[in-house]
Amino acid sequence: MSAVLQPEAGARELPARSHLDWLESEAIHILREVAGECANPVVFFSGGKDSIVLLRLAEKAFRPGRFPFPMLHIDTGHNYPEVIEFRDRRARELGERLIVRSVEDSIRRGTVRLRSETESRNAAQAVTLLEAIEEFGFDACIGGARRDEEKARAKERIFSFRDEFGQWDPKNQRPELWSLYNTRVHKGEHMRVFPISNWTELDVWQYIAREGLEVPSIYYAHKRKVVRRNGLLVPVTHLTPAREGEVVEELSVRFRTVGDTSCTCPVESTARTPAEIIAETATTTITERGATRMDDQTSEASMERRKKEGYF
Amino acid sequence: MSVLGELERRLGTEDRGVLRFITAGSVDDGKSTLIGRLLHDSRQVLEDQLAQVSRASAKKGVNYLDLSLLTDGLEAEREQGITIDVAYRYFATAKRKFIIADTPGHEQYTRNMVTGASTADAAVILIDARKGVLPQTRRHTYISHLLGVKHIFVAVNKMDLVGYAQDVFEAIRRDFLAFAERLRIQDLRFFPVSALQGDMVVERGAGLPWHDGPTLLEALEEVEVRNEAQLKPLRFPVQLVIRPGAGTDFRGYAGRIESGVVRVGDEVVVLPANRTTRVRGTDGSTGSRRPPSRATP
Repeated sequence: MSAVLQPEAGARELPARSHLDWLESEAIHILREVAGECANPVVFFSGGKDSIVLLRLAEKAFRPGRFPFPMLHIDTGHNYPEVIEFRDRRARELGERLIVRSVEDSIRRGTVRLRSETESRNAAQAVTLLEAIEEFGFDACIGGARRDEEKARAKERIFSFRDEFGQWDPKNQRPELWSLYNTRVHKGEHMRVFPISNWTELDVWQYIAREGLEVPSIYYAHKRKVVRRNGLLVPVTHLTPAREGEVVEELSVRFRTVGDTSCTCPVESTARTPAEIIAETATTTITERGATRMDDQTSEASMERRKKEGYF
Repeated sequence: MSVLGELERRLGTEDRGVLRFITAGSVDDGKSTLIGRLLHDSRQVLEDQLAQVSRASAKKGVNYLDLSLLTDGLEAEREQGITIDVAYRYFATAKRKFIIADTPGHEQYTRNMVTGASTADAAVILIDARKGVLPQTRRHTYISHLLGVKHIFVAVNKMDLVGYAQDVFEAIRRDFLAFAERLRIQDLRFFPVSALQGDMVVERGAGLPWHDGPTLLEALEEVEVRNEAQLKPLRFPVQLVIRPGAGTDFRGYAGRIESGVVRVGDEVVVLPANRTTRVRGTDGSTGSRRPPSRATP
């Protein structure tokens, strides 16, 4: 092997690798591993910040070639229009295939039953997702979940096995040594793959700033009508109207996480740029999901239970 | 602390990259508590997490903040009060980003400890000062060393329960060295700590004035993971071939450089074909570039 250090490089020491370079390199390696090992993969794209980062990583992993997988969004029908518009535009810009499957269709089929029109469809996404996985026969689903989001996610492998019912068994996870990933599944089973497992909310924003990535406008400070409920700022929408006695205020807010309208709350903020969000994120006293999710406050294990049922 | 000072502390003044370490050792040696202490004292536990921990502590019927509840993320773990699988936690100081893998201490879950250890640069092996070196202490040390962990820091924990006695610490150090010496661990160090009281983890505390070395966190901040792999010959496993097809004859070999440096014009041998060729160009993650591409630490 002849590619050894040349004298001129030895003299000038290569700079230390920044933590973002480290995270990026790990994620690109994982994405290519999926491409090389899995027969029919797909990447989840919701228009949210984590999946926006995933798509940039995919560009770095596969350009000038095409992505070796389509994009999939499970639409609850209750998403913010700014996010859906962004999703469609980003897919067009990339020139890659976007598949959308909606919870509405599952409701029509009768596989999802809601007690009321305005009930949160967040948990119902798992049903539609598993139906889409079966429809297309996906064997690997790449998602933007991060271990720092939630304590059940902190336990999950990067290549995480799902049985024929789409279920995660947290007490029986596969070994995962070094960067050797076990991608073997039988028909009907699949993997969930999380290339940005090791990123924090702060890392994501630092990366968005470094790469100059566009994100939906609702991630930045804007005026919005909200009510204060259980320590959260609940946006006033047709799905989540103000209750009797609640005072509607118009505040400067931004979303730290965007999801189903019925369960995602903004935080007070004046941050209008990635740099300002980084400054706020670095000094926040509340976690990303703690400040924003009505669905995680129901019990200590709500995420773990949803994941066992096939949730993202 | 001022907002600006806090910001600087969290975002860092230098970026030494990422250090991955595990906490290992026998059941009840205080691994989860140590992590809780590291996160708490470096102010990375946020208000809603603390509120959750204090609610859960009260429910468990203990009158202190049970920091282990921060990492035991599964229902079964909280019910049984044990760690079943490895949990990952993240924190950053002004110097670097840390990824902690909290590994289970029970023998039956050793396979999950192996998963955590395989990607670690450093291992913090905990020992209960009252119990000394146990079979699981030796097992986790062997496994960490076997998997290639170069920096092994032995934290003799619960020093508060032995009156912070230096001779207890020294006796455990001798016991440990008696079996570990033949492993030839590259960087083996010992720390007396009390994770519960917070001595010598992040802050020095008051209980251990006789220890003149760094605190555990100070030592972790200084661990050198400067890429030795870069100084070795080039090894580049190809993960996939990028061929956009129509309209272009581009063909690129994509993968992660495991060791060495690659430059345009370098002569390389392709295995298993054993053919020699030259590098025509390198495309890094920021597009085509001339500077050398190199191994990932």
